[in-house]
Amino acid sequence: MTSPAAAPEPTPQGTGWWSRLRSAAVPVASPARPLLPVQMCHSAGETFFAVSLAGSLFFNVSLDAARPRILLYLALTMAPFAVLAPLIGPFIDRFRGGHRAVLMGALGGRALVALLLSAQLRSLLLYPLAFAIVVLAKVYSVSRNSLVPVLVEEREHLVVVNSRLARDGTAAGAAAAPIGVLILETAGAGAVLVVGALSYALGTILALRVPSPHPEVPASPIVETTEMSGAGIRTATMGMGSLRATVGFAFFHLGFVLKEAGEPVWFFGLMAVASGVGSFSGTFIAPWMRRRIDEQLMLTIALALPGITGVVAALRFHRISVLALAAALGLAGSLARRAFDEVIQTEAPHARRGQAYAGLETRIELGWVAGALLAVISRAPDWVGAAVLALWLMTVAGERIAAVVAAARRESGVSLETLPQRLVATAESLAAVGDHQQAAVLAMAAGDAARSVVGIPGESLFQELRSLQHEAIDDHDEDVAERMIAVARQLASEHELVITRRAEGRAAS
Amino acid sequence: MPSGAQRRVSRLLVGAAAVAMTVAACAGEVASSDDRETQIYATALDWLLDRPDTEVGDVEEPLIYIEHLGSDAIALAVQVDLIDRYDDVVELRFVDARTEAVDESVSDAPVREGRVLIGLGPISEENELRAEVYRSSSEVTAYRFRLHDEDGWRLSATPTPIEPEGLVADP
Repeated sequence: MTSPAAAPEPTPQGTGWWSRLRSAAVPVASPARPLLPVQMCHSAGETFFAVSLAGSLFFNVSLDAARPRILLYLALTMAPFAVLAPLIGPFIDRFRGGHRAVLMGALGGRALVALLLSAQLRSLLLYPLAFAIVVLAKVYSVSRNSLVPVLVEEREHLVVVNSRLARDGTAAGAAAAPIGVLILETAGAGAVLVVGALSYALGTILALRVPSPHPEVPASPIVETTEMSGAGIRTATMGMGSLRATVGFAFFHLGFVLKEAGEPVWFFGLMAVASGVGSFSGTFIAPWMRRRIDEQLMLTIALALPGITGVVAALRFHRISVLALAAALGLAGSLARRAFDEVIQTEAPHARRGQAYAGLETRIELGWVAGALLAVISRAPDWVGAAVLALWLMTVAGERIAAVVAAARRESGVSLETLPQRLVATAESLAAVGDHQQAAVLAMAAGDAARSVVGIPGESLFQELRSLQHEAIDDHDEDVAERMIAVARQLASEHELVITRRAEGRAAS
Repeated sequence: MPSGAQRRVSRLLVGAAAVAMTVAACAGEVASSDDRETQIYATALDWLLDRPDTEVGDVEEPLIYIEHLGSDAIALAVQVDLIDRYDDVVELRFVDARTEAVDESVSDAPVREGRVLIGLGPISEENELRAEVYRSSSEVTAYRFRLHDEDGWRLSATPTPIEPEGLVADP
């Protein structure tokens, strides 16, 4: 195992495609490395679980009869997940070995449930047990995604480590697929799940090798919270959640309509392969793309890509368009994850605690459940579902583009003249998250910036601001900070008025 | 922004809802087992599967599609019981849409891969039901079953052939 003082992640040498491919295969030299085999075991287990469903009741019962039960268990999936997932982050941070306990709990739980399910694939217990596996999968992904940022030593390694996790996981899942099919043909679906349970169990044991996260917490929780609730991260979380909601919707919508159309079981397998190929290729395309465009645009493209494929599927719903949609969703998932990680890396450089990530990851995963619920409730015809999916993704992507255009317009107004207003806005958002000291300092800075304009009235306001300053910083008083912001806002308004009058005067002359 | 107490209360509410739904789900499990329906359908299927018009030939994985001829689907618990009961003999696949079983792109709309589609009607209070066997649009037979409970459900008389209705109509 690599020591914590190991060399940083090697950077790509050369610019050719072979060099890039080789650099992508370089082992992760960080404490996050032991997560790789854990992720591989988890992905292999996922594949075995999916293959075993081919021999379950799912393809034998009518969906109309099963729908109330699927709805119920989906709702149940959401409930414990919403309660448990926010506890994962604090658990990772507070208890020594808590991170291992969460990973082992999710994987060990899945091993146990998979073992129970292996004997119940042809009974009504299929539904609660299968959904228990889904809940634990979500808990696993939240805990893993919360753990990676606190394990990597250098912030710039976050993207590399997550890419490696995705790539190795997909490879392990792909390798497990033919093995699963072979076991299904020779020993039955129950045996496939037993092998899946063994895979999860092995992952549980390997999770013991995951080292402790960084003991030091370099930034205060308030800085983390401020960074993590920034506009960029909020937008990226919305985009990522929208994509996960689409994946949840597509999973159930396509499952239902293809079963209704009498598609054979092998076609469902082919869809899983298409999604895996998309996801795997995404891990190579993402770095190439990132070198050319910024992360938010990359996320927008990740949303638009399955949106466009969805339009094609809505216009002509057949096997090829469905496979293309599955591949596009897999690819989009990879691109979006890379872009999302980069946004966090850039905009929340001080966030080092699991707690900071668990909330975001929970919201993203709840998007999946919400999308799945919509698909089960609506039972839309094949092309209608594809049209809804396309419309949703194109709307989200369009909204993001519109926001970028609006921001670009706003940016033309980002000058010294608008500084007081911008400082007041930042002070307000800091006060909203409880950082009243920083809010007070920024309110003071806004007052200073407003006063720098010659001829501005409001000297008395400025004096009031200064007298409040010491009080606010010494006492950390919420009310004083609020008063300071109010005074700074008035000064900024006066400033704006002066600037506008001057501009009008210049225009008139 | 919600306070810590508000968050705790909302979490508690979600938790309580989860417990309530779990209880409801378990209760549904018990209430859904309709033994009478399972027994009656099984008796009808036993008789039908012995007949030449349901023969599926020497195939590796015998499979029969089942469609309900009533307005609602057959209860899930009944479907699961029937699938389990015939697991060693033939794979039963319950369908919502006829397209799941029938290839409508071919003339005569045969059942996929030369298999058979059985339509089961709702069971009346007099323990009567209609069942139809479909191979293609030109090969449909129908029977009326009357059963009685005498240490288990039995046929009261040999089922009588009747005019097909459910499976010749548009799905």
